[in-house]
Amino acid sequence: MKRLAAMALAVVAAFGSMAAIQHRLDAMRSPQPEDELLYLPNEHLLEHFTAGMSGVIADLLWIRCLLYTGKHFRGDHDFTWLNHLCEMTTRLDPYFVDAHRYGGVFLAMLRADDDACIRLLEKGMVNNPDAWELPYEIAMTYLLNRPNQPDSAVQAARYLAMAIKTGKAPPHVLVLAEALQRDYNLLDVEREMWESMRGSDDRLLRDLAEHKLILVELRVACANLGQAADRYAAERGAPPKTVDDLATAGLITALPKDPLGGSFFIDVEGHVQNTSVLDEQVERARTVLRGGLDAFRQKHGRWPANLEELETAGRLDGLPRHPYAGRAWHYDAAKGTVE
Amino acid sequence: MRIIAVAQNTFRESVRDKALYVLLFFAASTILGSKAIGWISIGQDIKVMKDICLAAVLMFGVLIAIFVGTTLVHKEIDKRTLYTILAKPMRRYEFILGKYLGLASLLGLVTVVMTVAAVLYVVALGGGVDLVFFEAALLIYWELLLITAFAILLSSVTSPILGALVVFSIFVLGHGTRILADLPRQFDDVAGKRALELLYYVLPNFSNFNLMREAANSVPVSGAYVAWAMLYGTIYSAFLLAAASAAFERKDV
Repeated sequence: MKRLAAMALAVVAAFGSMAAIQHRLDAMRSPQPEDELLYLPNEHLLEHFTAGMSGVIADLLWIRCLLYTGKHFRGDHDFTWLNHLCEMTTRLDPYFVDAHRYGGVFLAMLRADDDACIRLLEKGMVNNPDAWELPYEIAMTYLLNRPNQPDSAVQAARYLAMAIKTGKAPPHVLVLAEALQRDYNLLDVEREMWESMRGSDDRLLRDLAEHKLILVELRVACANLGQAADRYAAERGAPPKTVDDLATAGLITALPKDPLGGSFFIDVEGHVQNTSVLDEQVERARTVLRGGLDAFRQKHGRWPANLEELETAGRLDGLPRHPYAGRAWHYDAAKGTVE
Repeated sequence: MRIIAVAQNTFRESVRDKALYVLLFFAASTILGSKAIGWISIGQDIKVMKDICLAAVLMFGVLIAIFVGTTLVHKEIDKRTLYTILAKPMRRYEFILGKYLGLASLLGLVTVVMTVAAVLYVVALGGGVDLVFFEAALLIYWELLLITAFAILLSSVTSPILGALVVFSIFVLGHGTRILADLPRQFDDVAGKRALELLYYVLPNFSNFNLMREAANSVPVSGAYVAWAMLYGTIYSAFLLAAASAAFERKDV
């Protein structure tokens, strides 16, 4: 009995000390830089040397992609390697519909890279012609990310028609397609999309959908407050100075709450705005600018002298306007950063 | 009849090999552990499980084929049991064929057991299995038969360790031969391009047997494709066994 107890004690002591050492080693070791992803082999080569395990490697890369997206979604919103990970995953498993689908959603919604999103989804459609989800997501990208493009509604309707043609699309896609043809209110389309994603089993997707739904409601609240402001101006002959004036005048019962901690205000152009909505738009616009700056540097080996050079060099179709009226982008030509 | 006797003996001997059970234990652990990896994917646990289960069937089947196959002939020489066998009225090619069929039966049993276990596990956890899953398992078995033929050939001409290394290299490279047929444009004016393209048809193309991606994503595959792939494997294996028999005939034992 004593011998057994001594042995158990020895085992506990051995594993306890090893755990302590491991903890110390982990603390001493600097965090792995994500630039390791740069050293993943080219997907064209990788595909040939997986010894038949390309499906499993694609699964592992997809999980890595989800962890990467989750980490940066809750952190710095820098999604530099997202496209690379999605491309590699889908190259290794071209039948992986959800990697195409959610990879595309992440690229469009988080990295603000509509082109990469549409490219990835169209590539997926070639190998998975029966997957209604892929043309549906392209349609959503046209509607939500390119609302100002003249033919976006036409393109969206075209892709929705493709989704319906698979014969597998759920009824709401048919409803959307019909509604689009009647010049549908796009805010409702967006709300419906995030609502369906909120039912996902995955926490990352649920969190993203929750966040986006809050932003949709804040935009609706801005529109309602804007109408109240118009009534205020019509009744009193002058626009309100602050949103509180609307409550004081009895045009609204109370200011809506912003669960993201932002606030409503009237900007210099007289529009009712919300800081959470604008901050998100700032982040998206900065991501677009950063993408243009990186592409410029890759081609010319230097940062552009000013942001307008991105437009003249063909790196961006047009400079995004600063979402806060009256503010401008502060560009540091030495570091290539935009604030 | 003599071939069957050698095959039965090889099967019995291989079943008693402890290494087989160690590999099967790891295969079972991998199949059971696939659910854990599936948990962290977005609703893709069944797809991930199918991928890992089929990969485990292939990988552990390959390890069994290599470790058992490359020692089959060498062990008989080392233990001097070969002299007793060859003293009987038996041709050397019959010995090689018997060894091959014995190991092929073992691999068949292992593949069936692992596939059935994988299917039960996937179904028990709420997934579904299509015909393509079984087609994938069938072609994995045909791939194992081809690898076994390589292992028997190498077992007849070289040492077990060297043979195992060579066969494993062939297995890895055999999945990447497509690169020889998809040479980049830089090769357009290179004289060796034709030779490399010819090499594509000479080297074994294990990708022909790989339906794992289709199985995991439930993408149907025609029966004709499966039949052609099996014919390819059968002809290649027959050629290798003929080469192994010829090499063994010349071997001074």
